[in-house]
Formats: sequence, structure tokens, C-alpha cells
Amino acid sequence: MAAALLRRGVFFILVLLLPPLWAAEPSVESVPEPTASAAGSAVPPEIRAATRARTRSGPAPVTDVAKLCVCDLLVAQCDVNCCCDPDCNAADFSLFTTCSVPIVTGDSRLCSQKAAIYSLDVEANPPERIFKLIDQVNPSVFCIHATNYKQALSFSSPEMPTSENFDQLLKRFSSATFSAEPDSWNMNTDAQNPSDANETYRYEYGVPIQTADAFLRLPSPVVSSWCSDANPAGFLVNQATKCTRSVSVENCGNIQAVSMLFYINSSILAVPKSSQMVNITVQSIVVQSLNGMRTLLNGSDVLRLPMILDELCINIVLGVSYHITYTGAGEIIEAAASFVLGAINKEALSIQQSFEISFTQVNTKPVPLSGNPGYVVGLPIGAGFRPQGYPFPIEIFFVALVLVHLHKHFLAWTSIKRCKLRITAAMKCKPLTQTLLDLLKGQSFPEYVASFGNSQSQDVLDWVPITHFHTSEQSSCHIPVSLEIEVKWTKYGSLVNPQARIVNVTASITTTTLKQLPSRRERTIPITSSVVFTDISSPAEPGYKAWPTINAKLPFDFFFPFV
Amino acid sequence: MAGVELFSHPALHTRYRAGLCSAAALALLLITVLTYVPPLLVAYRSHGFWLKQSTYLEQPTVRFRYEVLFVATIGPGPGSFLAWSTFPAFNRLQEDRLRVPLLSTREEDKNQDGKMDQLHFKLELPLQPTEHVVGVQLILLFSYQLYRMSTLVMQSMAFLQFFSPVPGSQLYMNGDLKLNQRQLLNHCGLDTRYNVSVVNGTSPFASDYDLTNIIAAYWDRNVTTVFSDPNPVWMTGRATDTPFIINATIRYPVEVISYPLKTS
Repeated sequence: MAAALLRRGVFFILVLLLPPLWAAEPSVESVPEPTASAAGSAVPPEIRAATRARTRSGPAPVTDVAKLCVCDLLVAQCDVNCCCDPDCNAADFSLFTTCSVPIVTGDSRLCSQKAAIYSLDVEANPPERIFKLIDQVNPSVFCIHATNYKQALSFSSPEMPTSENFDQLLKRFSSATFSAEPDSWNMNTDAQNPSDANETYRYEYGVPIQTADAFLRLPSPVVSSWCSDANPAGFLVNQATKCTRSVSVENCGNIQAVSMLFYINSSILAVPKSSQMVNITVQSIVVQSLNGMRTLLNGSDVLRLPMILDELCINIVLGVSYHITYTGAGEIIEAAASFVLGAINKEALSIQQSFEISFTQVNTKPVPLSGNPGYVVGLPIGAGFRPQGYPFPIEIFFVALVLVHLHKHFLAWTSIKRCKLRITAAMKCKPLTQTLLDLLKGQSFPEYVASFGNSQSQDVLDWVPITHFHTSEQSSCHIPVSLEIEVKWTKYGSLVNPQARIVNVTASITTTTLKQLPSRRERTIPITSSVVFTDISSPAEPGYKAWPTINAKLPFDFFFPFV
Repeated sequence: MAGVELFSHPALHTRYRAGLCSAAALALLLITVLTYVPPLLVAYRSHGFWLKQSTYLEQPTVRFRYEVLFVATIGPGPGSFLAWSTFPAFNRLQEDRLRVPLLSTREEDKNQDGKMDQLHFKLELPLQPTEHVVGVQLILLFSYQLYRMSTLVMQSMAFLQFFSPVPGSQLYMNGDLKLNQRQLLNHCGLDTRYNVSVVNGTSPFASDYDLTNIIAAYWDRNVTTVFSDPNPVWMTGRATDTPFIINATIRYPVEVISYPLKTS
């Protein structure tokens, strides 16, 4: 009795809980279906009482478990190992090994549910099927004893789309799909918004530069290192790309992309959609030999097409550099291209091409800074010389920001370079020392380094002298083998906007003794140069540098009546 | 007479008693209730007093955006690759390396809670008899939403990659799309910081489709998803006239999400 009472109590709780659980299915704006409340208000009271009594007796199963058979997939044929298939006879069952669907039950949340159990009696000869229809009792306290809302246990029938609610249903249920729209091969970015015919067109930042047929091509790697020629060059977007192109000597004349003509034959439109053309002129041609030697050709304005010469293919484009001059009104007025041409031999299967595009506004001479004011990571360090015989400090000026091109010292990137030198007995000490020094320090090693990225040559205090160290062994002949440049920099300024500032630069050359080698003997010594960047700024630490003091004074008449 | 003792002190030899149904007994009861219940309510509403952050479980609402970027490396020589994506500009950049695959996908809601539980993805790449696939890179884009504490709406990515020294016929991958949280999510409000496309599909420039740039920009984000499949299966032995097949099952598991508590 107590258990029944408890269960009745549980039932009420469950009835309260069920609608929110299934709130997703019966929607308010759905087509009116015969719900319990609508039916209840229309029928006479005695029938309503009868329905209530019937619902209390337990929800009727929606599907008959004895007839539900999900493995019966062949019409009018026996499905193998499907024990619930009504088409199977005793002879079929004797061939089965297991039942693929051993039990079919109703809703497991009900307190009592019908279950159809199928099994095979393998002991019998021949094996026969055992079918049992039992009532399973759910031991859980929170089972559903009765429900007055039968639809809660099954899927609600979907809303039928009509002409009124179609858009709303589409909005509710639709999601992303594969786009079946054909690609718009019209690559004009402003074709979508038709504007006035008399509107003046101009290039804006990032807009692809148009040519007569398509775009100015800047071959670029996409998803791999191979070149893709369809990459357009964007206006005012300085780019440098490197990509690989497969070539062969046999058909080098047929590969378009290694011919100069491919890069200059299309004229650039001065502004988009105009008929005014700007031809690409050849500014310079540098020819690179097979061993990497580069020579600048005189009389550059000649077209050199790839051709086969003594099992070599010469005049292959290894690099193109476009220089575009534009006006402030977004019009291109000049386009020039510099080429690096090279040669390949039979072994070469692929070459690396480099492409570059830069933009200059007409009548300007841009001076790049390496940061403003502090250095930016990755940009070169400014360095220079003090000219000879300066009389007054006020007239000190430095040869314009010469970049140390020996290493391309990039701030914060510690780097090291190594190579090997093979020494033979025939080498003399003095010229060898000079050659190595030239190799390590370059032709003109700077004397000063700019402490800020925007240091001007007239600001004397902004330039940090390079301290030189020589560590050498005392002997008759010592040759330099390593150059180590150490740049000490610190963060400068406020904590919020720290600026990198170079405070000290040292260049130390280590030498080693070169002993006289016996004739026809060789010795290999490694030549090393390295750059080390050291951050010597102290980290920002919380705390009190100056302890707070109490600055409180009593009013002068505090002890008024007494003092 | 049943009653309650209101106050007593042995030193003073005084005891105050009142009946059960008196105002004094009611006041005593009220004070007792007020002593214990309001602190409990305060502790419950503030989700604990001293916690700085906490976690909760939620299954995200993930939907496949039907945006795909696919690259197949063709071997074995120093060969090329085949690529296709749902972005027209990317396909335009590929020129003759474009190869359109046959795609079929299906999202499944296994427990009928209205949230998708897994994505079945099948890609068939038609190949010439001389072409052999040695590597596959695949980007699938998803929209990812969390609702329980703060509403997080973002677009995320599953990056599937496999390279093999031997040409394959089929790649089977089965794994979870896991949330990678580098910072705590808000405890309330709407977070649409990362509701931007992972791949800029409108750009005509090649650099926007470079996989290194896509991955670098994606991992700059503090909240990302990562596809983890420790056991990709690479099947070899392709007949010359059959396509290369990628079979992937991407599951959307329940996530543990960290969030800061209200500092009130």
C-alpha cells in the first residue's frame, strides 16, 4: 500500500516533469492536433472520466513488440538469423546459429513493459526457436506508472509545410549545404555593385591589378611549393614569393613560365575598366651563370628568350621584380620589371623562381625605417660610418643608413653561419688573413649602429659605436676564423609600449694559429660568424619602489580651547 | 505543558520558557531557520565562495559548414598535387591541378537530443591510372556553439593530414573534434570573437589559401578545435580505375569547459 502511494506520488512528479523534457517537440505554433486538452474540452464529462481512468491504467504501447521485427528485410522470404521473421518456418530455424535480434522491448522508462524474447534451443535436435512474450518490471523507483500525455513517448508528427509556413520552416530547419552555384568566373570585384557609368575608377589597396585580359600575375605557391600562375597581384601590396617550377632542357623553349615574354606581354590597365594601357618595360636584366655568378647586362631593353645551347638551356627566368609607380589618385602610370635569367643543365628537374612586386608613389623616395621609434623584430639594424675629418660636432652626419648586409642582422633572431675553408700548403699567411677578414666582416664594416629604429644621421647620441675585440694567439701567423657580433638591447620607455633599443654592440674576432703545412697536405678549418641578441632589460616586477607615505596634517586649531 | 526553553543561565538561576504556539517560539524557529538557510542560498547562488575558476560539461552544438579544402599529393616522383575546395577563388588558383572529387556527408544525432553527435564524411577522388596518392591534407570547417554559461559562437576547423611512403587506396580516420581552450570562457554574455571564417574564401590571393598561413592564423586564436585521431588507417593497393577514398568519422564529444567565477 505504501509502495503504491509512493508510486502515485512519483507519478505526479513525473507528470510535472515530462512536458519540459519533451518541450522541443510539440511546438506552440504547430498545426492543431488532437491534444488531450482539446479533446477533453469537447467531449462530455463522463467520457472524459473514462479516458482518465484508461490513461491511469498505463500507457498503451505505441508499437506492438511481438510484431516489431527490424531484421526482417526480405519480403516473403526468411531472413537468416532473424528469429522474429514470420516467413521463417521450423526448418529455417534449425539452420540458424544465433538470433540477430534477441529481444524487442518497449519504452524502458515504463514501470512495466512488454518484451518479446527470441532465443534458439541448440540442445534440441533439430534446433528450434523459443519465443516468449513477457512483462518486464522496471526496478527503478522513478519509472512511469501512468501518463496522461501519450505523445510524450513517441515522436511528434512533423509540421506539414504549406505555402504560409514554408519560409518559416525553412529558416528553422535549414542548415549549410554544399554550394551548387556555379563559380562566377568574372573576376571583377566591383562587378557585383553596378555603379554609375561616369564614375571615376581607381585602384584601392588590395584590389587585383588588371591587365587587358585578366590580372597581373605574380606566381605564388598555393598549398605546396609549386608555382600557381593564377595568383593576382594586389595594388599596394608589397609581396615577395618563391616557388618551384618543374623544367627540363628538352622542352625549355615550350615552357611559358620560364620565358621573359610571359611576364611582360600583357599591358596593365591604368585604372580598372579603362582602355588606357601601361606597358611593362624591362628595367634591367641580370644573368646568373650555373655557379651562381651574376652579371648585369648593358643595354637591358632586349628580349631574351629561352634557348638550348650546348646541352644547356639559357635565358630561363629565375626571378622577376616588378616596380609599379602610381599616383595619389590610385592610377598606375609606370610599370617596370627586372629579371634574373639563368641557365639549367640536364640534371635540373626543377628551378626555384622568386617574384617580387613593390609600389612607389610618383615623385617620392621612400626611406624605410626599422621601427618607430624602437626596433621591430625581424627588421634590419641600421648601421653607418662617420665621415673623415669632421670639424664640429654639430656637423656630424653619418653616411645614410647602411644596412649591414653581411649578415642581415635581424633584431632578436640569433643566427649563426658556418662554412669551411680548405688550406693548402701553397697559401701565404698575409693574403689569406686579408681574404678571411673581408669574408667575415665584408668590404665595409660599419663603425656605428643606430640605437633606435628611426635614428637619424644628425642625432649623434643615437648612434652606438661598435666595440671590437681581438682574441689572438701570439705566433707568426694567425688567421681570423670567427666573427661574433653581440648586440645588447633593452626595452625602453613605458611598460605599456616597450621599445627595443640597442645599447651596446661588440664584434669579436677570434684568430687561430696557422702552422706551416707540409707540402701537398690539406687542412680544413671551419669559418664561423654569428650574431647574438641579448635582452638585458630587467623584467617588470610588482612592488613598491617608493613606499606610500601618509601626508596628513591636523588643522591648526585642532586643540583650540586648550592650546 | 509542552514548551520550549527560550533562555537559561545557571549563574543567574533564571529560565525563560514559553508555550509551543507562542510568538516567542515562532520567533525562535524563525531565527533558527534564518541562521542556516540564507547562508546556504548565498553559497549556492555564488557557486561557491572562494573558487577562482570552475568547469562544467556541455555537448557543443556543432554543424558542418559544408566548406572543404582538399589537397592530395601525387607521387611517387617529385610530382605535383591535386586540389579542390568549396571556395571558387581557390579552385581558380589551381588551374590544371584542380580535380573535383565526389563528396557525401551525413550528420547524425544518435541520442535524439537535437544536437549532432557525429559527421560521416566520404570523399572519392577520381584518379588517372598513372596517378598515385601518397598524402592527403583536408580542412573541414564547422560552426561551433556553446550555450550553457556564456554563449560562444565560433567557426572552427578540423585538419586531417596523412602522408605515407607507399601509395594508398583509402584513408580511414575516426576521431573527436576536441575543444582547445587557451583561456577561460566567460561566465555569461555572448562571445563572437572567433565567429569569423577560418579560410578567407572571398580573397583572390594565393597567400590566403596557403596552409601555413591558415594554420598560423587559426592557432593565434585562444579558443580552437582540434581533430584528434591517434589511429588513422592507410589502406594500400588501389586498382587503376578506382578512385582514392577518404572515409572520416568526426565525433562531437561532450566537452569540459573552464570558466571564471563571478568575482562579486
